[in-house]
Amino acid sequence: MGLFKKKRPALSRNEALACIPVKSEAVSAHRTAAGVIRLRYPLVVKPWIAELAKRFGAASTTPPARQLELDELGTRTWELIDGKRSVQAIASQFARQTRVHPKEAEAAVTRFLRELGRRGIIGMAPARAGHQNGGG
Amino acid sequence: MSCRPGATQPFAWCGIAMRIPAAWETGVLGAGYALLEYRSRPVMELKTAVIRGHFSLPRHLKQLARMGRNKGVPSLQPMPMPPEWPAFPPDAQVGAFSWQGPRVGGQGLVHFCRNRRRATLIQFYDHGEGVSCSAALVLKTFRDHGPDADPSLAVYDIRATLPKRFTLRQFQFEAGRFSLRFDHSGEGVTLLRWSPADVMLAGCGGDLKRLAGKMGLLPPAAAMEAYRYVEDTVEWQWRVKDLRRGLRALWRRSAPDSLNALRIWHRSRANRILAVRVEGLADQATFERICRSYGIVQKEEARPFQE
Repeated sequence: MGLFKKKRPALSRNEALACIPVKSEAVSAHRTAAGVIRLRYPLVVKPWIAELAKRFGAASTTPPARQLELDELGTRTWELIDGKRSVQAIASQFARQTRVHPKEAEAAVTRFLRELGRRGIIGMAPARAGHQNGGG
Repeated sequence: MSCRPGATQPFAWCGIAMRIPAAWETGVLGAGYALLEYRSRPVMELKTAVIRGHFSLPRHLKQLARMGRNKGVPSLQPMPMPPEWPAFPPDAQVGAFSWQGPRVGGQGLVHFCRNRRRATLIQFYDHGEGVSCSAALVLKTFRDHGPDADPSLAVYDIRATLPKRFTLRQFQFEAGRFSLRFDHSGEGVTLLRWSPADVMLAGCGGDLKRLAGKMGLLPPAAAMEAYRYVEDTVEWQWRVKDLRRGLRALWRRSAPDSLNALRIWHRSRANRILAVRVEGLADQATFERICRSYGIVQKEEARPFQE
């Protein structure tokens, strides 16, 4: 019920950029012959679909998995996620590596991380004290 | 932030041009609107429009103050021009203002040029450390019209000078791809920019021609093979059957041909690919001038602000 839902305070832009992306332990990554990263991650199935699948005997011991092949820029960003760098630090490092405009780097990195987060490949840890824009 | 003249860069958008500190970045752009940032915080905001009909500066300032009262946002107060801000030419009407909110405040001015009938609002943000002392230096270089040689566009990392007759119609700034379309009475100019170039070119075997084909930059009327090299650029030109243009040419007894062309080049040091596409352009010389003016903004070291 939306009526009794607690409203989460919205993060400010600076707070969001200070968050630290952390890779999910359930995700495996390997480098392809083309030099890009291929990720294998468990598919998060809605409980009612899982229950339905179980009833029809389709459930197995291992959860269904999906693969995602990153492009070259995605691979570079993935390699910058180390559980220590903030989103801002990753964007700055990405801008330095690729010589793109810092604003473009910020937009591209945040969009990419949002997409990884949506698939459950990464999570976001809140910024540690004194680590707002660190790393890089 | 130091007030001494330091590294600066040009900024030009929607008919307004100025020099800004090199550390300031383009934040948000809209039609007649720009927000500049310094360390991810707004530092300067600009709104501009050509006014049709009567313009009263005191009434406009009063209106701005009233808007603040209605929406519960900080109220704007007219103030005398700070002594460090420059004097503006006599054809300009100028009024300064300030406002203060709980966390952030600001100072700015409304500038109205009687000759061009262009009104511009510029405000500088104060995040508790006072308004940037660069404000006076930025205002000294403010121009709402200027000679044809002045850049008509200098945002993010690109700059270009187009003939004054062209109007910006569409723009798109996406990560990796910028596109701006200008036009004037059947003539069209599109400026394109991609980044990072090394990644883009790696997918096309390092060939700009293949990249142009892959991006769909050439219309069906242009033959992919009919390219030529102009210095370090690749160029295509093609003809389009345009009945209206043909009739107009017949009426004026002029040549019916107009220029349709695409020129693309790679700036390896900046890791950018730039392209200019024109449709129905009156002459080749204008195309050359636009291509030569289009480039990557160089942050000039320690160039003093000049009026």
